[in-house]
Amino acid sequence: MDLTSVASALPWIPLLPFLGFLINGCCGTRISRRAAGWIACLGPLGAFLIAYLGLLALAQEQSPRAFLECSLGDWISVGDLVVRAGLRLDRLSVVMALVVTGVGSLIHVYSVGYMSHDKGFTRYFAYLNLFLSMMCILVLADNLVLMFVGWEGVGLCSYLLIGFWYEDPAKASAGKKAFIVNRIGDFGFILGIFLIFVTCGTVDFAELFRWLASAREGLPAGVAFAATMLLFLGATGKSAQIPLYVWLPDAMAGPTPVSALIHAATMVTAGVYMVARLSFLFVLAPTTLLVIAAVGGLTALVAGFYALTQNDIKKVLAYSTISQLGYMFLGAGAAAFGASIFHLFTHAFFKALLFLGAGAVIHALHDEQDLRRMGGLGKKLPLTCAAMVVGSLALAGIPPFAGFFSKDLILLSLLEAAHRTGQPVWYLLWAMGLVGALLTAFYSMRLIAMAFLGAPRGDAEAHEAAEDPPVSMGAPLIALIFCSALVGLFSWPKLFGGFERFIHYLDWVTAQVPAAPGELGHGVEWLNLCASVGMGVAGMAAAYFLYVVAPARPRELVRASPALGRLYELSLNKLYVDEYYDRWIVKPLQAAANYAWEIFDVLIVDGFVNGVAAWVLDLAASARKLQTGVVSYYAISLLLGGIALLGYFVLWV
Amino acid sequence: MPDIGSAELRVLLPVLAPLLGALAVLLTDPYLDKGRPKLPLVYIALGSLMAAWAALGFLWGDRVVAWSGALAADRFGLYLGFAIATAAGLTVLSSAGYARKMGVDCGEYYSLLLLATAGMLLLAMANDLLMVFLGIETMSIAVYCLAGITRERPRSVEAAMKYFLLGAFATGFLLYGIALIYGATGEVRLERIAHHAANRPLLLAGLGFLLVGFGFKVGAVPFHMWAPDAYEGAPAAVTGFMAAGVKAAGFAAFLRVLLTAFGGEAAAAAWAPALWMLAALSMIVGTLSALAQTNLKRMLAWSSVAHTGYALVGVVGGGGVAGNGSAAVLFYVLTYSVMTLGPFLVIALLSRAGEEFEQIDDLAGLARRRPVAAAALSLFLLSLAGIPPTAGFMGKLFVFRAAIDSGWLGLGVIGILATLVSVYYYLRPIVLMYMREPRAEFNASEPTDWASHFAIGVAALALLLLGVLPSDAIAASLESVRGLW
Amino acid sequence: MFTLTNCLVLSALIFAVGAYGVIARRNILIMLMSVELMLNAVNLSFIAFARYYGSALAPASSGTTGQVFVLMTMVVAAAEVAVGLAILIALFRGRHSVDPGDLDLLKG
Repeated sequence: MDLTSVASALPWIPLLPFLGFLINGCCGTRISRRAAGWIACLGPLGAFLIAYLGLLALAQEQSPRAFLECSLGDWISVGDLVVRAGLRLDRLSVVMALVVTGVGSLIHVYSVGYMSHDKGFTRYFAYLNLFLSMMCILVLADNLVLMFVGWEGVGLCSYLLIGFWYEDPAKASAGKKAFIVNRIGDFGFILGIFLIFVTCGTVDFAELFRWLASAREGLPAGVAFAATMLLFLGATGKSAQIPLYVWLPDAMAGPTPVSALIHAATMVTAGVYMVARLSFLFVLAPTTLLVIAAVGGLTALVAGFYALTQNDIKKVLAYSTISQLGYMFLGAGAAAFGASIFHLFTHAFFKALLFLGAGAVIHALHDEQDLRRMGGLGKKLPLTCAAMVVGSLALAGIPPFAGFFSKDLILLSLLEAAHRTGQPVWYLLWAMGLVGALLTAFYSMRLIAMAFLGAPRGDAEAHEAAEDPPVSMGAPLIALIFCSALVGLFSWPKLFGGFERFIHYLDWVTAQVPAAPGELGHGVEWLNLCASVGMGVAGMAAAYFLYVVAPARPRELVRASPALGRLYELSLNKLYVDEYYDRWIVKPLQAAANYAWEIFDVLIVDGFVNGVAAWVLDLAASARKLQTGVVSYYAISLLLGGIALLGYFVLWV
Repeated sequence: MPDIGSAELRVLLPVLAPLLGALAVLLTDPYLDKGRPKLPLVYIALGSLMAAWAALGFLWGDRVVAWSGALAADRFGLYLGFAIATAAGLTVLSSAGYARKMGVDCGEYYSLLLLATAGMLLLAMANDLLMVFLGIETMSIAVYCLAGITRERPRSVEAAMKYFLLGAFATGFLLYGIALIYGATGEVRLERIAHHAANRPLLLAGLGFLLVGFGFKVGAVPFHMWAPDAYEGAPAAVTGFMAAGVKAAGFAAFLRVLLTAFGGEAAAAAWAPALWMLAALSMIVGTLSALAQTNLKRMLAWSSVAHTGYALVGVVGGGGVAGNGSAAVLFYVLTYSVMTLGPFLVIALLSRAGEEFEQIDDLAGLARRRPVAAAALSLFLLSLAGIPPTAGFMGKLFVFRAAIDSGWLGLGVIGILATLVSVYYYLRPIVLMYMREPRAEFNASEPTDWASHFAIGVAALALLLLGVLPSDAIAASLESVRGLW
Repeated sequence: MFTLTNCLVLSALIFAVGAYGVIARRNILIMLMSVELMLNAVNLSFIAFARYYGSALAPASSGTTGQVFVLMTMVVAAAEVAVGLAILIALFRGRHSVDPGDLDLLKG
């Protein structure tokens, strides 16, 4: 494999989907749906193949730091102000590029079936292709400014696709909400870029790395903190973390494959990618890392908490995504960027699988999204059910599914951070991660139980008519089932004699913090593993108990044999459990969830933002009063200014 | 008595072209039908401005000083001269329809525009204080009239009156400053003033008064108070011209005087703290006041005050002729003049007969009815807010960086904070345009004003070009400053 | 009697009187006249400086610049007054008032 020839093909990774966008966007109604579908799918597939060639080319290189580079020329070049634009494929970006184009291709194929009856078919694929193109630019950019171009591009596509069915005002407004909330984060990102640029004089990742390594006095701690915090603010917007997560649940208004691709597998992970990309900068600001971990942990916990009580199948998955993104930041905050990217990697597969499965359910039931009106679909939709079960097992972190390995690594990295820094707060974050795992397992099982197990609760006719999706939707599901089940093996834990290949693959492209003297010890690792698996199993079991075991079985047993009177009581109590659970757990949970929502959203987030805004507006109103409209006062202001200047120049200087 | 050789005439060409154009307009006007659109006047005005453009391009190159050193055709003056001529041209294009709507489609309007342009170009090339004074007055007197040209609108006349009174008042200070500088040095030529020691109280007092005059023209706090009232009252096309042209010309002369006559280290150390204060006040007061506005023109006026502050940041962080700051100011004022003219072109396009389209709330739902106008206005506002990839971002980047590089960190921080706050009021109209239902009626039924659309398109394209490919413009600004001596 | 210092002090005093007139008087016409007073005060300074530089006290330079400046100022002042009065007339037609306090449509 010739490195240079692959390198020169790099621009085609974003270009191929972009061509798809151009053809589908311009020709629109003039080409048949079939042709449009093919065009839309071929772009991402081609991009995937090039990215795969890139992976092979990188594998041939001796140096783990090797990269493929393709310069797009000087963008701005004046004096000492030089911004070069180029694409760069190294070990980190190749992983991201493969995920983006791979999962992206599958979802494109799935969409052909899912959107087949929509009148905006070509428009949909044009947007989706544009999204993929922008995402590839984001991933492959070799400098912050180009990355920002991609960052804004994916934001725009996300906005367009959330509001895809723009005739529905609620859906259109969800798009706007996403757009506006993201602007807040983007502004932080811009300021962060700006700060880095004025301090280091470059926005190129490699040059920045060299600058940081060579600068004699290094980056001032304050600047490092401010820049990384601003960048992280950008990440909280794009990756839906506290306090800017609010747009993601609303973003579920878009078509389900969009939720799978943009709002679960790829775009929302851009923030994590950015942190990993700039990991060499973030490790210079330990405070920021702690903030990242705290925000991630809190988000993982709170979003998992919200997911417990959602009845919309997509909302459950949306909160779950937020929660899992929280895990990724938890790992990044612990300076375990490899683990964080690994979780991103596995999450992309199993969350895409869950969303596509949910899409199949919604499709089968003709746009029914309410879990309370589902139930018993397991027999009607075996493939979908299998997909959802595998996805849920992976999400809940049950071995040997993918999520188990990555989540385990993140939790372990928190213990290592505690060991390394000696700060007890990392133990707290670890505990938060564990509780989050419990919640995750619980709501995953609850979703499965409510949708696929038990008796049908919805419309009987719709239930009868429901059937598994067609091949174009089924094939991606099957592919993702295998991926979700198996990709965890890329990082077989050391504990079981593995090498953690994936993590070490990224070792040289993400920053490493010096390890503390002494190993954690196998005991701690076993403890972590057992705790995380235990939480997963416990959560699932509890949900199974509460949602599946309860139904009418006991009644029949009692009738069959009067001798089982006591058992009847117990069975009856089991029946009560639902109500008991409803009254004493669901309601308080709901109230508490609401309460938490009030505290976080209304009081802290809105309160703070509005408070500052109100203060500034008050100031503005008083500034306005100075402009009285009377020309004499204006003249006085001018005169006083003149006297002040005169005084300054004559007396002061 | 200098010999009026070819160099003398060549240098004067950019000023002569609009001047002759103004004369031609006045002479042609009586022969045109009263009831019909006076398109010949537009053609004459455009022709003379193109001639001015060509003359500027012709002079672009080495420094030519003529008229006993009174005028200098160097890149420094020509750089912003291009901005001025372009702004005037776009204003004329937009006026073809707008002036008719406002009932001022007459020879006076176009001739005043051209006379003001001549004054601005003179100011941009002025190399002694007498020419500075003449340029400022030629420009200002014409602009006072333009602000009040819609005589039937009380707000227009009030704006003209306020602008005039305060302008004349400020002129007094400017003139006094010149007199004191003359008294201290016996010179009015900029580079000769520089030979005198800068620490004499009389000279510094003169500089202080000079700053009042320039501060007034560029709208720096606390000499800014005319700006919101004049911008709001004046007809939209004139306001745009004022905001772009007057400020560009003002900054050209301001910067030239500071760099040439007071460019020495001692002098720069004296004025930098004073301008620091003006810059900080302008950014803070301008940004805060813009927040609470409901009138688009007034909001843009306050924003122009804030932008004066941003440009002054570059002046403070100028680093003399060798530094990047002064070049950054040139580039900033160039981009600023385009992006502030743009919104006024849109307002002029949307205005109806005798009635300005100026309330921010009226913008609601504009994107549905007038998608092109809404898109262009959004682009201009985004650029004013300094969001990439527009020119406004590049300008701010360049200016703030120059200031921070030369150690004025505080000013850079104030600038960034002000920018942060300003996003609120720049984005609000965009939100209204794209995310609300239409409330007001838009004049969608009128025949399309192609000239106006063309002008808006040129401005939008220029902003994008300057934002995406700023290299040439930045390089030219650096050359301009380097070639000042 | 007509020393440079005396002339400059007188000029500064007249300038101050003019500036005071602009900010204190409640009649636009008088404000205009006050502005003219300021300009003429400056003219006095120019003449004084021109005479100083034209005399033997400062042999290296000539005083013509200052005198030319005075002539220019007078021309400009005349133009300014013409425009100012025209605007004032337009204003008076609409409001029948020359009180600057009545200019209150534009504020905030």
